[in-house]
Amino acid sequence: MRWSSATASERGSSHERSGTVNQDAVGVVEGSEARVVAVADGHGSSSHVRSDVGSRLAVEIAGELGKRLVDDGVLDRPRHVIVEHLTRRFVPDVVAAWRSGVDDHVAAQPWSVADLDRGPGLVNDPYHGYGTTLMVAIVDERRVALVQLGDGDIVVGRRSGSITQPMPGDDRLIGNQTTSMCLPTAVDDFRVALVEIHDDPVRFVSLTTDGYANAFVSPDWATEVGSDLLGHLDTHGLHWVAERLPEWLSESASVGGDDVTMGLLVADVVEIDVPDPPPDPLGIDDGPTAVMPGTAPARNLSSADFEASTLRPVGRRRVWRVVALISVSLAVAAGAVVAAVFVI
Amino acid sequence: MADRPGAKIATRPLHFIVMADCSGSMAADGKMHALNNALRETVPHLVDIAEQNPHADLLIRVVRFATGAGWHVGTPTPAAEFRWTDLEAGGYTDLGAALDLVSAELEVPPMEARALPPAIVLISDGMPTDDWQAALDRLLRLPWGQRSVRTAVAIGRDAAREVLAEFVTDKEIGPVSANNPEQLVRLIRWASTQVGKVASLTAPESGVAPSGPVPFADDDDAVVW
Repeated sequence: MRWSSATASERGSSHERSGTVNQDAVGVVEGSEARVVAVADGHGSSSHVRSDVGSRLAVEIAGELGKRLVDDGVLDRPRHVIVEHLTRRFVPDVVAAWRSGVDDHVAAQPWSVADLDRGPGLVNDPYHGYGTTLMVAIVDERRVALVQLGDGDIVVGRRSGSITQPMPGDDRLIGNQTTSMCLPTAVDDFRVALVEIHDDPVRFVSLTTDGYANAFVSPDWATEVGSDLLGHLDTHGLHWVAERLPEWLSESASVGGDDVTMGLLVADVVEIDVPDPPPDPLGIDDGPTAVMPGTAPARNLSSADFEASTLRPVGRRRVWRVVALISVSLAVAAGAVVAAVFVI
Repeated sequence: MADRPGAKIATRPLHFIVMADCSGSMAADGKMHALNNALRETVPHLVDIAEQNPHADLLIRVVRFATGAGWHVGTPTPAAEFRWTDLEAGGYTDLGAALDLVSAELEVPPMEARALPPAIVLISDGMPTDDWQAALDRLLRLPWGQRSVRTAVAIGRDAAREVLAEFVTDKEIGPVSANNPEQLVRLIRWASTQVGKVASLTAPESGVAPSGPVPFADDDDAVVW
């Protein structure tokens, strides 16, 4: 199985009217058999003065650490080890790196008087100014590892036609209020899910900021969108979808007012022989695994777990032919901008 | 466009609910008349807010409470189509019944999960006569109740400010007081501006938007109520 991807990001109509930049960011890191997609939604209220920087920073860090996770062979480990790694190492590392990145950015670009007028508390809490959500999908030929902080939606479509949202819900995310990278509870607020590909192969994984779902009238929007996407991918292919993605998102951004961003991962339909995953000593190998905020597995990873996952020979050589791809949607005076894809 | 995945897209609902005290005491000193005038004069302001925020679908409802409570305007009505019809005073002050009516509308469904935070303004001149505290607790246990932007206008010196203070979202501002018809117009208009603040927040945030400064009255000495 090989993964392809497409991204787009459109500035919301309310941000166009107010002259606010697109605060979303999306990025992709590509490997030969694995791929990392990250989507972040910078907060909209005026005191989050640099949320566009915060979202871009979150995406860059998630891509880098996600790539490292794959290179270390973590996705080849038993399910409970993967979940432990995501909750105990990946998420804390992402948050720590993001906070460090914010510190560096503030040091390089101190708050202006105008910034402090909008956010008087920024001197004591600089992270607030960069507040953002974050969703990450790390996929290889066998598994889809997902982490999410804050609102937004992750939808998985399978070849059978099944459409699911594997990430557990969070009742706190209502009416534009969200958990955030800028809050001290960020590590505990992350949610984690792990999806197996092998039984009913995954066709696509989409990560969208909340502006996308909020524009749909139907509460069943995910099923409707997912089914349509499956049909388009089977009939026309990813290139056709990627060409139209900006226009689709633009419609939602125009009507709903919020920035709208999608990171779309699509699996080839070509069957390849994938070896069975190693047995799981905890017997939790069936079905998706999900971890709610603050409910990370109690068992701590032993150092042996990490050494094993780090030193274990990777079953097949993973070649990161594209090192980094960060698409950041920047507002232009005329209106929405399609996220650019920079391939290094 | 025909190829776009998914079904119908639309602007996000923004519910504005007015809770109006219609107890017998509101008949005294022209308070009911002043409230009707103030709400009628606020409608064009709401229309302006709706026009300034085309990505939000501003929908207005009105609850009246006296002996029991009921919907004066029960259908969520777009601002441009809203026509004020006068309320009449008479009866007790069953605020709890009104809060329960609103709570029922904040359940999902009928409340839309994709809605913007609802704005609720409570206007009262007296002490509740039913179990308002239990009803308020029920409202605040609802996710949309917690997330609602609640303001209160106390009419006159006999208003139960401590009750209204428990209702409002912004505890620093608390309930605002109107002591004459002009102040009532100004403060209800201020309360309605909270709708515009909600509408302007389309992107997620990590906190609750501040209410903004309360307009200072330039006719504070004209205490009528």
